[in-house]
Amino acid sequence: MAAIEPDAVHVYEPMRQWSLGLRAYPKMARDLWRARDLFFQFVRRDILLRARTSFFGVLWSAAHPLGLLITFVLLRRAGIVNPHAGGVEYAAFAGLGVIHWSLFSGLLTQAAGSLVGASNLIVRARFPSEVLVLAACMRVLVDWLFGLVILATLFVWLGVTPAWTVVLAPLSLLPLIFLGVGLGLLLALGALPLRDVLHALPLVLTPLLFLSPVFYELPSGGVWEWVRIFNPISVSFEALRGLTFAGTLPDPALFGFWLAASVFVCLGSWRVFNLVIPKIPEYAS
Amino acid sequence: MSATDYVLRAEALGKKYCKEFRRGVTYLGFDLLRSAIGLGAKASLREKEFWALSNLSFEIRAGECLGVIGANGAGKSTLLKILAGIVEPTQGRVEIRGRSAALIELGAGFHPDLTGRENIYLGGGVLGLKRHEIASRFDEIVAFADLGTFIDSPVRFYSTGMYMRLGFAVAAHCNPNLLLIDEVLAVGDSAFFVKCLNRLSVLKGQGTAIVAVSHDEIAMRRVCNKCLLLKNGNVECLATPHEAYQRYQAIAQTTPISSLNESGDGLIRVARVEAPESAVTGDPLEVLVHYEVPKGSIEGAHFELNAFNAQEELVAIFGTLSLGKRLPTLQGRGLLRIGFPSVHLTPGAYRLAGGFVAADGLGIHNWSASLSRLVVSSPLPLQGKCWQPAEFKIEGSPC
Repeated sequence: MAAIEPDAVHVYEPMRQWSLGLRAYPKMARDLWRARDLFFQFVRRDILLRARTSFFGVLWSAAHPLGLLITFVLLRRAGIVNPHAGGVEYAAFAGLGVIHWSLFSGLLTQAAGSLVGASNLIVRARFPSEVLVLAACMRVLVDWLFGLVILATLFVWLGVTPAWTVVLAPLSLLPLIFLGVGLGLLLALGALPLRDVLHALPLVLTPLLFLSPVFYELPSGGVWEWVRIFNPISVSFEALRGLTFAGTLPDPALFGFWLAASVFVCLGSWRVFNLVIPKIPEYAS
Repeated sequence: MSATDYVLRAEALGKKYCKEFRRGVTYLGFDLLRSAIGLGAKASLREKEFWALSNLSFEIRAGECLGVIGANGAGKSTLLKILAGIVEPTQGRVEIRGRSAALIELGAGFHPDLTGRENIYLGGGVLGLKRHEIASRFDEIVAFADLGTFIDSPVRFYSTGMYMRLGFAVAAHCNPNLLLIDEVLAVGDSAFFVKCLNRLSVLKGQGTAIVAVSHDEIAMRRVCNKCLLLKNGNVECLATPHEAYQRYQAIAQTTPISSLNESGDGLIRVARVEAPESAVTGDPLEVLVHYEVPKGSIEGAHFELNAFNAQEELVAIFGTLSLGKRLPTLQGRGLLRIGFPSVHLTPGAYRLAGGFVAADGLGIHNWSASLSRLVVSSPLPLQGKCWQPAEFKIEGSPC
């Protein structure tokens, strides 16, 4: 038998997590670190399953953004829409936007459904359930990397040369990723007892897509100025495009604020997740 | 052993549930809000809430096995889920020293589209094993599950038995300090059952503490050092398996039969049943059935009798149908005398169900789910579900 490690005493009591306060974070981090093997197992499982149960596998993840991109390029050619692209080749401009919009919306959607799909596991075994949500997020990141390959191909084909600052571009995505993972944790939690969350998510994402500079630059002035400041996607996307095409750095105050806010949301959501998840197996089926 | 030498300690455990889902979610919301402002969850019972478990305290040391027994709804599974850390207790505290593995349902972490091999890694990971730990036990697990070439097939192609063997094999080889098993002793065929019992006994020998929930009395008597008998969420007794099962049977005897629960086409009626309330294993027994055929006559009917034990398991079926005989033509009122030269039931409380079956062996004239109760006793320490008289002789010497 395995010898009992000195710190391996587990205590289950009502509302135990609540009494820990901020001291909970080191414990949560330790538990998560110990479950890293399980995390990779889930990621591996998801990738294996997708490869095994579908013919086109990872290609499907690119189908939706590519479809949207082609639609907008055709609409623009036909003169039906005339979006502002800031002087960049439109397909490259919109391609960059749509791949990263898929990253954000994918994080939310995949995370939201991650616990519902594994509820039989949650009600029968004890492990840090965050790993299920994080594994779903990891899958979205893999899809995103694949999307980047397509994007790079598109750039080469169109003859678009990015600015040297493009090497910093991944940093501009940090607010999006922290926000996506943080909100994803909350959505996953909410969807377990109430599936309404899954139904309501597209209702929020669709308007958000059109209020963000995905296929066009947002108009300036008036109410749009507020949208640009208070829509974190807009802040991230403007930074991303500045770094990719124009070689300009983002506004440090605005970007710094949203980076800090997204980290705060992510850590806060993690704690809420940790507090509420012990209550969930009773209500999940 | 020192006083702290326990693997599991439960103190004044209690668990409250709500009978309605929506109301339960609302209460959960309120409790979370109350906790957020430092008030804690509401302790008293609200509408539609009930205590599934209350005031449970016990301790288990390394190498001990505690059996949890009781009727359906007594709180056995709830207790196991709390001990596994899946469900949070409403009151009290559980302390576990070391790694615990729970088999709440076999193969919890398995995915139908993955192969047996891949699922061993996944299932082991869910039970808290590292990849290299699983790799080092992989061959042992595969040998125990005995799946042959199926190990590389997706588990959706497995039979129920194979699926369960794999689940037990993974849990039984992760060398936990505490193993929690719910209703898994009754899985698989008899050869695997014996293998499971032997593996449990090896684990006990290595110092693993076990908490087992099962309706299988024989398995529980073999594996457990002590048994916790639950009744409506309360501890009825915590004693040796023998004492606990005696107490369990005593409770089953005093529980009133809800109704006579009769059914059938009514061509024959049972007016009265005369049967002794107690019997001794090995002694003769007689049951008298007073019947009435209201109209005309019935030809070629059968009489069947079933005996159920305290765990509501069907332990014996006897009647003319199984003997290949028929009752003579029945007309008007009469008396059916059923004689048993010797009772082969082992000590315990039994419920007899039975009635008249039509000549085709399918139609039911009259069926009563509870003809009578019978308490069987014996001066001998008999175990198992039936008594088989036997002689044991060593060739050449008297025994």
